[in-house]
Amino acid sequence: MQTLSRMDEFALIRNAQNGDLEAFNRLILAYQEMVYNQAYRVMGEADAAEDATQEAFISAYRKIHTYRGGSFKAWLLRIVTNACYDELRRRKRRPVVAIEPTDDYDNEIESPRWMASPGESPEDFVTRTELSASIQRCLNTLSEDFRTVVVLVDIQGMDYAEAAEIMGTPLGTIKSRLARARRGMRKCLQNIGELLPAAFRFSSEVSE
Amino acid sequence: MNNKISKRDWEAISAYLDGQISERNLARFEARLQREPALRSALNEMDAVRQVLRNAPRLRAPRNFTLTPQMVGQAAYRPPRRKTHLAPFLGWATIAATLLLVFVLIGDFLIVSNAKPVAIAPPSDIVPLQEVALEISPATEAAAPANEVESPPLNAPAAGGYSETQPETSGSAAVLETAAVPETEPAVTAERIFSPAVAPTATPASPQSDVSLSAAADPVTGTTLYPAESAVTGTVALTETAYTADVALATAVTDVPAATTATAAESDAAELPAEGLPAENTAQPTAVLQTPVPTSTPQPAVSLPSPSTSEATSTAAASVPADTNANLAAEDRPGQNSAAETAEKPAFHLLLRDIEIVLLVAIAGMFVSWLFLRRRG
Repeated sequence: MQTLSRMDEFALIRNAQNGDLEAFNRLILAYQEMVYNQAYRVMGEADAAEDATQEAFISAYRKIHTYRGGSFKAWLLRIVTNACYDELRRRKRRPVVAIEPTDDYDNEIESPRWMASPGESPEDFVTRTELSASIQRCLNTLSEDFRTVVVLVDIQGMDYAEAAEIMGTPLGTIKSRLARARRGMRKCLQNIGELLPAAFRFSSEVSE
Repeated sequence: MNNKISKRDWEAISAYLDGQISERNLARFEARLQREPALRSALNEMDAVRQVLRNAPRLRAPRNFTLTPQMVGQAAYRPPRRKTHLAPFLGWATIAATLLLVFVLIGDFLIVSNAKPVAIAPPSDIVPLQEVALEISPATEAAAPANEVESPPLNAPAAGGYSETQPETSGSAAVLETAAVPETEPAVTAERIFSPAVAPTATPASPQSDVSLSAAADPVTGTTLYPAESAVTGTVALTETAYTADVALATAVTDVPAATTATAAESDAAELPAEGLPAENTAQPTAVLQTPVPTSTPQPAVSLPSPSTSEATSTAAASVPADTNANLAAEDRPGQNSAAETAEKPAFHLLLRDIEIVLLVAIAGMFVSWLFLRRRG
């Protein structure tokens, strides 16, 4: 992933607003991983995540003139969130059969091809892959709205206000949805505790 | 031990972990955490979930999502347009030119309705050398017969030469000619008007005597008259006014032909009133002076600033203070008044009509450009 300085980012956005597609493509290269991660965690499936990511960038380019400063990441997250909702609706109407292999739980196995980091030990890689898959499995148990908010806050690091802006909901709604989503995740992660890497295993002492 | 954690407590825990709990509830919540181990456990568990999520491995993008022009329905990338401030400028220039046109029209109307002509500064960015023939008969009957004041182009190797004037009307008429003078700068096109000034008499002595003449303010029109050197030497004042695009500052170049045929008068030029000569001050047609006048002196013109487009198009304006001067001179002589005016009016009217046309074209051009720029920007 490329990283851009604030100045570079500002200049690229300005150029993109003037119709410079190359400038916007540089922004895409800098943000595509973040956008794809958001799409993947919300969609729960690589194919759909790709589609949503591509749609989000097309939409972002067309709406680039509406960007009025502030966090460009948050602006992009709002667009990809909408793209995910659109894609989910579309897939509900016309369910598609995943062509990529899925595991026993019908969850797609994240492709090791692009999961591997250079210099990573095989053990770490397995741990990381398992952790990622477990998280996704649990996220998939949540409804869209809860999934989206917990991904925005806990994976993307947005604060409540930003999440409220991105989702177009009041702050209080974000607060309660996030609490419920975390509770759901806690429950799920406890249930599949043995699948979690040891460092992340925890047992429950409290009941609801 | 009651391990039950309410929904509200979970929300408080969640907000507390994110530092989003309100000030008012914070102390109370922390006190509860001290007292209630179950709450503490719940907090730890939720924090663990948070840590798991925050440590979620980032996935690599399976491919690049860069866009092609076809994907966004864009034909091809055009380089960003250069930002110009031309549009607002053109807008204001259009307004200014329109105001100027209104001025000219009023002036035109005043002339038609027998009023005194006023100085007009027409902008013309495309007008080539324009020839204006003015015929005035400022001299009295007693004046030297046929005070012909010529203004041959001094450094005019081309560009139209100068026009021939109408034949003299009544005996002693000073024939004013407008000569086409080549442009001194490429950016400057100018209309020029010869002012008859004080034609009937001339300086018998040196051309330096004109320094004693200063610009006289016309009480009628309120314009400043510049008799300049040419007035003294008995020739016409040629003012060439140029506007630069940037400053719209009018500067006049008095381009007086060198050879001036004049009748010598006994009176010294320094004593000559700028507005004209009294009728008694008639001169004997004695000597013909060849008075070379060093000119090309930039001089502020009595004219309205003319707007111009910023594409280095200079609009030129000519001021006609001398005409007013001539008019006054004519007025000074009873009996010549009506004749002079009737002769002057049509020519002046024609000039104004030219100016109006030029203004209209300029306004239309600037307005269309302004609209185009606005739409493009």
